[in-house]
Amino acid sequence: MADSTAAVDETAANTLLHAAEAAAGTQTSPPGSGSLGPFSAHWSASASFAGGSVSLAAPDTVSIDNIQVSYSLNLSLGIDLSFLDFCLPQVCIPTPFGDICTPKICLTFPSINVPVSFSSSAILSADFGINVHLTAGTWFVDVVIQDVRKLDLGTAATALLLAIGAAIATALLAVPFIGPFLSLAVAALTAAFGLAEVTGLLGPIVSLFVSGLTFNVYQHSQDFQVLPASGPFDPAVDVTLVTVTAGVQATDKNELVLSVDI
Amino acid sequence: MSLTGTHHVFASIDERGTNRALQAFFGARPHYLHYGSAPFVTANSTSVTQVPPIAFPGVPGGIAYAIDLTVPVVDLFPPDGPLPPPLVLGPGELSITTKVTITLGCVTGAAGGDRGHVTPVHTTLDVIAIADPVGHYFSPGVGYVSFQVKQVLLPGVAPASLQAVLDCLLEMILNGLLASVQLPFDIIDAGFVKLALEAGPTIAGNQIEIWGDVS
Repeated sequence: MADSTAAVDETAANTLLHAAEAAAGTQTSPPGSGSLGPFSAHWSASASFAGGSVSLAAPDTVSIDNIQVSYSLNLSLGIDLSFLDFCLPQVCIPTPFGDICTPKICLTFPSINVPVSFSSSAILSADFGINVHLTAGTWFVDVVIQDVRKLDLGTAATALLLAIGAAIATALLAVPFIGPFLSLAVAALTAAFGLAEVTGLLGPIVSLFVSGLTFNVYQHSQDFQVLPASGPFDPAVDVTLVTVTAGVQATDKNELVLSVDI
Repeated sequence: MSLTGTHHVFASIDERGTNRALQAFFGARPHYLHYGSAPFVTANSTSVTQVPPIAFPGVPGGIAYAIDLTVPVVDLFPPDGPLPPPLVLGPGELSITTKVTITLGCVTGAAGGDRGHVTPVHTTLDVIAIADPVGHYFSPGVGYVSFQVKQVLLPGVAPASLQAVLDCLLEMILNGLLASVQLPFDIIDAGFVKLALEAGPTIAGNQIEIWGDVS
């Protein structure tokens, strides 16, 4: 028998999890890059988690259904407009006074970067394991993702596709001489990739936040202050948390149980 | 049977944990175990508590005394062994065992030149008490369990009238010092949750148990 035992049922576990989600805050991933059809894509992203419904299964599985993953994405697409390059050939008209020729005119279009800011949410359902560890004098009980049962991006890919198209149109307006070719260019560029490519870019970015996802449900210094100091002759009273274990116990209710020896 | 039962949160501290908490408390604040008047104790400190001598006509400066107790050891129901009669540890109760040393400053030679010379005389007695846990709840996560002594026995003291006097004296002393001993909810639930107390504290299966919800 442990010196101290604390147990929460699934109802209370939901409360703990939502507090852990809030405590985790917004997580930012390192900048990354990928491809979107023929274009290069550089991005940075951040995400936060909220909601979800907890169920517990012995010996140590915490299942959470329908966590809302809210993410923001800053994409930079590198688009080479050289496919629009063209030359007007020299045209000569013979006259009695000799040929009159127009000059050869060539238009060269640059490469541009198209910034796209995009926010949306995904729905995650996953099974988490329990990891208890003592790190730098502090006991932690984390639930760590083990198996993703569902990651639903919803209609985010479609929305991102539209956002990219709108961003390309806006960016092209700043390109000299593109006016007559604007609609042609937008059509050509947006046709260069489709929903599958956008999904292929978006999925791994969101998955970055899901892979290794950890929520901390317990954290306490190994030196446990039972009572604070309360006067010149009453110093603080401390005990040491020698061991901490955690797991799910199944009886007539499934409970997350924390056991501590002092 | 689940630990939480009809509630959402359960927390308990067992007999060993309770005794370790008491050792930590009295280890940090030993003055709750050691009391004395001058000349035994001349000032308050972390180690000792100064009390006034017992005033008595004809005894200049009063009757000096000291009371020292060992760290109490608790036994939570069910009992680890039989208690000396008539004590019986019932469900929901705990016993507290300690030793008390009562020291009296005996003034010898009162009629002669040695007047004022204090000679300490002392006796050490076993003390066994029966107590109830008492819950003090203020807000989620903020509360504690204390102990209320309701019966004390100093086995082997005779005659019975002297035993009754000492039993009463020690019941008052134990309740006085135990009023300062607190088991915060934090040590019972290890700081896992901010427990909103709904039931308890009760004692069963060698542990102090509380139930509630989490906010």
